Amino acid sequence: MNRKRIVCMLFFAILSPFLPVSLAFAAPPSFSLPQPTIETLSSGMKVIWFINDKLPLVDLALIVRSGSRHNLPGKSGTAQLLVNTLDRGSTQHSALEIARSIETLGANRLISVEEENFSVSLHGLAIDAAPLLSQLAEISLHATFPESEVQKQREQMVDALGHIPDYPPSLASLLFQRLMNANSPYPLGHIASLQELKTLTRQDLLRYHQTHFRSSNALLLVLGRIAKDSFRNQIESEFKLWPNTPLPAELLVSAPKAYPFTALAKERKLKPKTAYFINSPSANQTVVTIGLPVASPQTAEHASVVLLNVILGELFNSRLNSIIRDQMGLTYSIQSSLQYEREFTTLEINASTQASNTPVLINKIYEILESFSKGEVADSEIQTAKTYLSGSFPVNHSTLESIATRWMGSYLLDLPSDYLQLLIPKILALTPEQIRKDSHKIFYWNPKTWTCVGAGPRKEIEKSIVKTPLNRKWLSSNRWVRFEELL
Amino acid sequence: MAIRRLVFLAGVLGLGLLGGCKKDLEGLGIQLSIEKKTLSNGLKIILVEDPSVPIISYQTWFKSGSVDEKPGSTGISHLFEHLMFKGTQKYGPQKFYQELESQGAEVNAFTTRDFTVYYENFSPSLLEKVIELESDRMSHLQLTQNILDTERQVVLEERRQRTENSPEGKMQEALWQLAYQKHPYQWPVIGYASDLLSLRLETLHEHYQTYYQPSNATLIITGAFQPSQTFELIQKYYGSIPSTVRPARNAPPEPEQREERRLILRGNVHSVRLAQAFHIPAASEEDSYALDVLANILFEGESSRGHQKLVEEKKFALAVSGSAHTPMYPGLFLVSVSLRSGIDPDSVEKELEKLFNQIQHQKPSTEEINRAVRQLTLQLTNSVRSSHGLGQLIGTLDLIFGDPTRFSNALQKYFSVTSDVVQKVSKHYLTPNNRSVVTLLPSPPQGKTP
Repeated sequence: MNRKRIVCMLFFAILSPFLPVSLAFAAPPSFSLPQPTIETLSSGMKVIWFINDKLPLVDLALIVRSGSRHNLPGKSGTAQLLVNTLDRGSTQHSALEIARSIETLGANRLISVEEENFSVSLHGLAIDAAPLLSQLAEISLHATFPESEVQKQREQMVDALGHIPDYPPSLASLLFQRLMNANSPYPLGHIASLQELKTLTRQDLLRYHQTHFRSSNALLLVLGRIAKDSFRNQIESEFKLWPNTPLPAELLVSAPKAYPFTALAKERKLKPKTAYFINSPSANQTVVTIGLPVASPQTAEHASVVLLNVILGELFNSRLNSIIRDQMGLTYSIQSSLQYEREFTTLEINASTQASNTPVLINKIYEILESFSKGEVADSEIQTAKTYLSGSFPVNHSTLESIATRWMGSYLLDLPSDYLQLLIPKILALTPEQIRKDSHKIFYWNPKTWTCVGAGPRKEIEKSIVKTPLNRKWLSSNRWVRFEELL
Repeated sequence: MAIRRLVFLAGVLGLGLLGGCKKDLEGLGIQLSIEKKTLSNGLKIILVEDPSVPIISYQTWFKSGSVDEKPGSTGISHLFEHLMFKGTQKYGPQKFYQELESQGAEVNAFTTRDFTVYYENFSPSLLEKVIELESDRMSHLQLTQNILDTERQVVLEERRQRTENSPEGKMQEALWQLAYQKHPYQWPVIGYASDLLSLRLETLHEHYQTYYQPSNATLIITGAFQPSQTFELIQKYYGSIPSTVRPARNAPPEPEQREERRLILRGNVHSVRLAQAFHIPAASEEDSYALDVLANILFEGESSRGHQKLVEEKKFALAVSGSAHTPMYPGLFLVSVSLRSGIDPDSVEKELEKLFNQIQHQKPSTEEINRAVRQLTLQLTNSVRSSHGLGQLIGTLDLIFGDPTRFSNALQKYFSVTSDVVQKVSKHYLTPNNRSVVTLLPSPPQGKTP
């Protein structure tokens, strides 16, 4: 069993020491979310405190509100390479010395980047909070990006990207991102081309770091057993030299240059009813991802999106799992999830099945989605979803880490601080009529935006499509993509 | 996670688990009430009250894992875990989820080589319903040929996803099969596809009757509940379930390995991978503490010897990992390397050999020992961040040692690991004749298909 439901994880990756959890939850009236204390230090940096003495642990996460979206034209991969190089040398210590200092404390570190956020996280025992903070400041403020380390990390990244074809889920994910995000504010992803990655230099990293890593663009999350007053003083001291100047006005990359995958997106406009596949010859399963853009959390309609996602595929008892797994035995794992960027929200369905069943699986998913587009949502399903969302609230908030993770997720999406608390009452207040109306609108089929991809063995998939054609109502053709068209 | 790591954590937290007593977690300001009881039908119950959380974690541990299987019926324990969600006479198909998941409970299960665990994490108001449903499926599960046939397909898909389509999955399956020749640890928990296809409904009924009885189960309940009331509910729902003779485990011992074993896998992959396994003792043996420390010195973190040598200095690998896997029976010291393009796996093997020789001839420093122990401390503290994690810790200890009160002694044993002992276990276990090696290589190129 042990099927994981991964919902709304995209922005939570920045807080990886915490639990990956869902933004979608319900609040029984008796349960109020603990709110953090927020302070702005003299350096201009915000500090968010979630203090709790229960366990002798501490989490520190410095979040810089820039990411891969802010790579300069022709410099895709800069933010990702910066992440891999940030702790590889500072004004005081070498890469090995930094690693040894942190690991001697038994602590974990994780540095990651998303489209619009960096996160430098350290997790350790509470008694080590002070040295961990010093390490965090050293890594974030005083990185020197030594030439040899930049070269080493760049080579490793290029090498690792060459391994993607060994992993069908990664292939499907990359192909899906290229097509789904083509007309969003995030068309390039972390790395648009291997060629660009290979040409990145230390100067590129220094420039990005100097531009984006500044206190006015950062916040520090402190979670766990901490003596707040003395720790605040240390934060002031460690970060006092950080520049507090505002970010340059124009940071976003305009009109990206043409890449092979942008040609793919243009081609798609001419033949929108196309299923895209990529060959993974050693696989005997096809990894399928189908997705569509949905209303963002800033809109009134999002409450219905959250509820309908539960009915569609968040639970074992949701429609996708009940029909495709429990009744048909087509897959081990199928679920739908909401993926959030600040300016782009999508609903995605992921599943894998033996290659010979590929068209059966895809047709069935579309058939289920079509029923949502017709507003075919039963009262009992709506009631069950509401009960689930209410009842899962304490389960989803049983630890301080899960509370902080959810809170930060909404904060980074620029949602109001009481967003999480108010979402459930909003959902509970929705009438079945409103939900059915929204379902029709949310799932209204648009071949230009609905995206279907699969990664698996070409010969078997082609044979299976001859035997059971893809339903022409939704997918009138298929297109095989080469890996070189993606990177 | 190695059981030793779990043991160690409890000691760090000062958990003293004595029957029915209350014990402060020293310096943490938490008081946990830990009680252990047994019903007349043999069902064991461990209650760990923690009113500081808003939920309950309810776990049912059965002493049934792939170690209990026979050749020809591999994977039956895991397949059965799936079938346990398929309904009873009173609560038909889907009802288990409708009654619990739809109310907000997190419901799931997992199977290991040594045991099968079902768990629910939920709001306290659902406690009686959980107890009723769990007791109901322990005694009244209904299986049909149709249910079996469908779920068998689901498990075969799971096998494709986790093993057949994953380079790492393939390697691990081959490595355990190579390392064990007699002991049931040789086959994968998920089983072989041919065995899964041949399992009959009658065999699954026998499995249910043999392993799913109160005397072969332990309930572990942690979180916000009242122990005496909970115990009364357990008595009410489980008390009348009969037990037959508790099944004895008769796993044949694995003979000492006397020569190196090697296997080369070829697949349509772009990258080369290498995995090694050395036989080591079970969790209950003294050496397992030092082996955990050894594994951390060699492979945990970027400052570890393995990472520094293979990834940083030689640039042979994209990643290297290693751990001492010490389950109920003698386990394996596992090493895994993902090679950079163009690197000969022989070069990597030579460097690993040098790494082992080095620690066998030159004791690790005190700093390395302290770092490893500190890393283990943190890993274990993390495992009790949630009620679910605390339940898993206690369940693992109870199933492996039959006694969850072993914490404090185990902690002292970790602290007493010295560089001499680490060197001794490295000499004893990390030897060529005790080694199995699996290499995954790309197949020779054929006709090109995009």
